Amino acid sequence: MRRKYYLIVLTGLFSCQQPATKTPKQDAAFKDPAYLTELKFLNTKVEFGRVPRDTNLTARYLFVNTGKKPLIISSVLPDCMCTSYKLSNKITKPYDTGSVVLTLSTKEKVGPVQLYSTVMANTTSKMYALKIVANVK
Amino acid sequence: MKISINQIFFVLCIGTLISCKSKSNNYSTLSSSAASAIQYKTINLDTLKLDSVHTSFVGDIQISKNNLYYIDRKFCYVFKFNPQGKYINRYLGQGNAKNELPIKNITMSAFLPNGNSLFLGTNWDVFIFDTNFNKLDDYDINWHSRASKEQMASNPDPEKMYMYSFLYFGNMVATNTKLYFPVASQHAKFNPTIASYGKETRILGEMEIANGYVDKVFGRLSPLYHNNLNTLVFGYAMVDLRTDKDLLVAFPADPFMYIADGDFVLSKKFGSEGREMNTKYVNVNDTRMFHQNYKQETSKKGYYTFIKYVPETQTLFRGYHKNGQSATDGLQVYMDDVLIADVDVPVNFRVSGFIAPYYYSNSFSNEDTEEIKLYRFMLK
Repeated sequence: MRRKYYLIVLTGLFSCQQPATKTPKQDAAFKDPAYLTELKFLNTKVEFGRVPRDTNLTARYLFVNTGKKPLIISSVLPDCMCTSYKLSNKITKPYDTGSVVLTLSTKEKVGPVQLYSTVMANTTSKMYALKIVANVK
Repeated sequence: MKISINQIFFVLCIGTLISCKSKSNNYSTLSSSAASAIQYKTINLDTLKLDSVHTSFVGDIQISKNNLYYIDRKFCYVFKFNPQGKYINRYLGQGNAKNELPIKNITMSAFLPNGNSLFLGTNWDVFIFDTNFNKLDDYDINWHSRASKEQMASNPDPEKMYMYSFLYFGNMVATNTKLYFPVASQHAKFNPTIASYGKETRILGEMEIANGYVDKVFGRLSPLYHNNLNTLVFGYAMVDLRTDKDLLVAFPADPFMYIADGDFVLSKKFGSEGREMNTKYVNVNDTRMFHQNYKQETSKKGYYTFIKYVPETQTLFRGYHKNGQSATDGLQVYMDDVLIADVDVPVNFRVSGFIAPYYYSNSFSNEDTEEIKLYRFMLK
């Protein structure tokens, strides 16, 4: 394992890897249909066009709990360490709204960038992909 | 006849030398074949739309036991479809349950000939499932590295396994017992920006599926790469299996393909250059600029993109990008190592496999329309 941290990053050849983040333990309620609700993202992709390096790009994704049970977002897993997130509320009441804000640092990026973050929730679909698209000059 | 100890020693030394040489590579002793007997000028592609599923739309098609599988790399789902694209079932998914994948992404995956499947996470973690996607095993890949960080930094030895990692955008192929995958070095003192990399780097890894032990890193880049630093921008291998013992090896910059055994003793090279390929490659000698340059080169230059051998029909496919302007990629078809077709196909087209009577392509996803389509075609 030690050598992994030693190797230099030629990120073009190798996919953007993040160290050993495992998915969080899922509450049994996430598997019980009685606790499942519905989630609708109003947008799942934010395109920034051409952007400079060494910039923080902030993308906001709005969602609505369209089901009848409280919505619990259990995790947001960005593709790489270059992206951080903020969740407006971990639990969202039925018909209430919330947001996920992703912040991408373009510091080590160059050229076309497509980065995904996976959102997990107590819904029948369970997982959602949020996407940031940019072209770093 | 009397044989002296010295004579025996001499013969043993020569034998050892020959054996070592053949294990490093024997490119120079190979005769080449560029045989061509074109049978097909075009192929007709049928579009096949998969039934709608909830997916990240980041994934690809793999074929096993006459079914199509869409591997969702972000959600870690495996969707099973019949050959007509009808949805059959969904397996796995991110999570910590027994038959889920506790990983963020599926970085690589392969079906074994026996129908079992193997998935690689982001941290050299491997998960193996049976034909019903019940988990059989999971482990971390064992590269046998006991070298310290300092040792690794100060000793960039191309023979050492610790120099290498998976080429995550590459392909991996499996027998029922072994996994073969392309490797590359990112060591600060030994990487594709350094001229000696062309001659010295190992290109493939072999892992025991039973326990995750990497037996060896082996094989070398073809002679095309040895003296031309510019070709090293595409300095990696693509691999497929022709039999359990024969590897098909190709390189993005080399018109030839090679047949090698498990010790990388080469038995044949063959292949014809693709059409309209811009091969005036440019590499950099600055590791910080490698990524940027690689992206530019892949968008502007011609290079071979994949190989796929279909054992059922003994047919080999090789794809290539032509240049930055072309609206199509090229697809070469070889039978008995003879080129029988070189046709235009959509950009980024690959062959995933065969379910009689059709060959199937990779998937083309459109997340805006929430569609996944692929192509199928016959050779006739």
